[in-house]
Amino acid sequence: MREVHHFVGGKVVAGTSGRFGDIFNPNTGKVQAKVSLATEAELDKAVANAAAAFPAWAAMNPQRRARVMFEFKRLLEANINELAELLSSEHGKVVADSKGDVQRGIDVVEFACGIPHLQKGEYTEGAGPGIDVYSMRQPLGVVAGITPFNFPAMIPCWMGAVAVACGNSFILKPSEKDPSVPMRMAELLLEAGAPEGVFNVVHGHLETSGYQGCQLRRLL
Amino acid sequence: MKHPDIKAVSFVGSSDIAQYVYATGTAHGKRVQAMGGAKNHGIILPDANMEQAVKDIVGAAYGSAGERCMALPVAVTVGKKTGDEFVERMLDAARGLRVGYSTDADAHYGPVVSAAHKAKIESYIQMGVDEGADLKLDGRGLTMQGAENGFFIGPSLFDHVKPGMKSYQEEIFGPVLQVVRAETLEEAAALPSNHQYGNGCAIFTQNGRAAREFAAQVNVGMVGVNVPIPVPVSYHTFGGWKRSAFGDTNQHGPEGVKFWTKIKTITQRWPEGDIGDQAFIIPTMG
Repeated sequence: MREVHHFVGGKVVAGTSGRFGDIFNPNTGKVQAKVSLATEAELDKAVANAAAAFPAWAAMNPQRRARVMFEFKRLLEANINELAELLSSEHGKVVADSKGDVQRGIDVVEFACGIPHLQKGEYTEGAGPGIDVYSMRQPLGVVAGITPFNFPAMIPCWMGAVAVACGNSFILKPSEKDPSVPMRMAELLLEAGAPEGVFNVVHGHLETSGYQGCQLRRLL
Repeated sequence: MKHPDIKAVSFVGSSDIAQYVYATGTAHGKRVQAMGGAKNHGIILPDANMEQAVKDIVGAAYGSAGERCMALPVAVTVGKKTGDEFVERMLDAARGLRVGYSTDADAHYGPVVSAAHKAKIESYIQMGVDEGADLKLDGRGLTMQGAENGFFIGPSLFDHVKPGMKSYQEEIFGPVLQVVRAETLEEAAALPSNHQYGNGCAIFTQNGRAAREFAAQVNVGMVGVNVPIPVPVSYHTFGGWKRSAFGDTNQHGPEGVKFWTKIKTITQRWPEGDIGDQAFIIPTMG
């Protein structure tokens, strides 16, 4: 049976917990794949990886980060049919609706292409005698997104595209019910030129662990 | 907690977990935005283009099997005549929907995401019946030939739903449309404003003044005027009010850039020669 693993440091990393979640085919009610559920140690590794990738990515000039977003947009558009079919097969929404889900994600990537302009600071010349004041918008560091099953393409882009374009390293914990589209998007963002470790996907299970369970608590 | 290295968390899910994520994350010094549930209302005024409103709401209520935080699962009709006409037309439209495999190009919507979710939606339908709402169309018990174990559920429609009902107050997240009858626009507009959720809402009318007033006054974060699912474009910003969102910045758009960055402000002076004044008072730069 197909297994979905984590995406850390620019590659698929097999889970070591031995715990898996079921990915159903909602059309048939049958389990079609398994998704590996991370341990605390695995999440720690992903955070360490993302932290290591952060300084260079944050220091990359915003125009170059925007070019990665332009290429990511192109790749998403080129793969929209494949992504929509994959999304439908796990979520259950019809393919045309899934395309809309991906397109809404692409729209946010398109917005993130404007990051050089969006992230500009402000400047006041002569705020006092010989005094100038300016401000800058700096990325935060390693940041995280936790996304629901209902829009597995759009909502990761809401968070991930903007966070990464701003120069952050991002860890996504997508819904374990339909994790394959976020995994594919992580591959495409790497292909678009984002350095390894800038966009990571780590799976966890809110239901069985309870939302006070370890994976989510560790993200907080 | 153990991860001082994670500086910010963005969450979209259900409200109880969103509140937990917000409270826990911020208690540990993190920046958090956490979006939760919704119960979006569509208000239909007597002067609405009824044909268009029905077309819009049938898609917004049942599309994606209702599993959207910007679905429109509550229709509020103003006046008896509007209500009767809307329910009659909507029943026709809902009966005409094709539920099919997610790969079926002719299907309007597919299965819901899991067996547990299907059971939850069906229990809400039973709750509505028990609470005395008028179940005009029952989507329970739908089976697909050859896929008897698929998570399918047909469209359901309740008429005469009352604000006191638990099935109205909570989010169902399934293909269930609840019609609430109101007598006046004021009565109708108070419903989304007073609901625990405040993600989106819509008004269907040809009266610009009524729409403008409603959009400005309603206690909800995203409003559609003759638009059933008012999800803002990517360069604006997505976010609800009340129990639909915890935190003070929205998703994407300039608000997203604000959330994912921290601002630093530098005040610099390059004096010529000695610095004269001693800084015992707060500099005013006057």
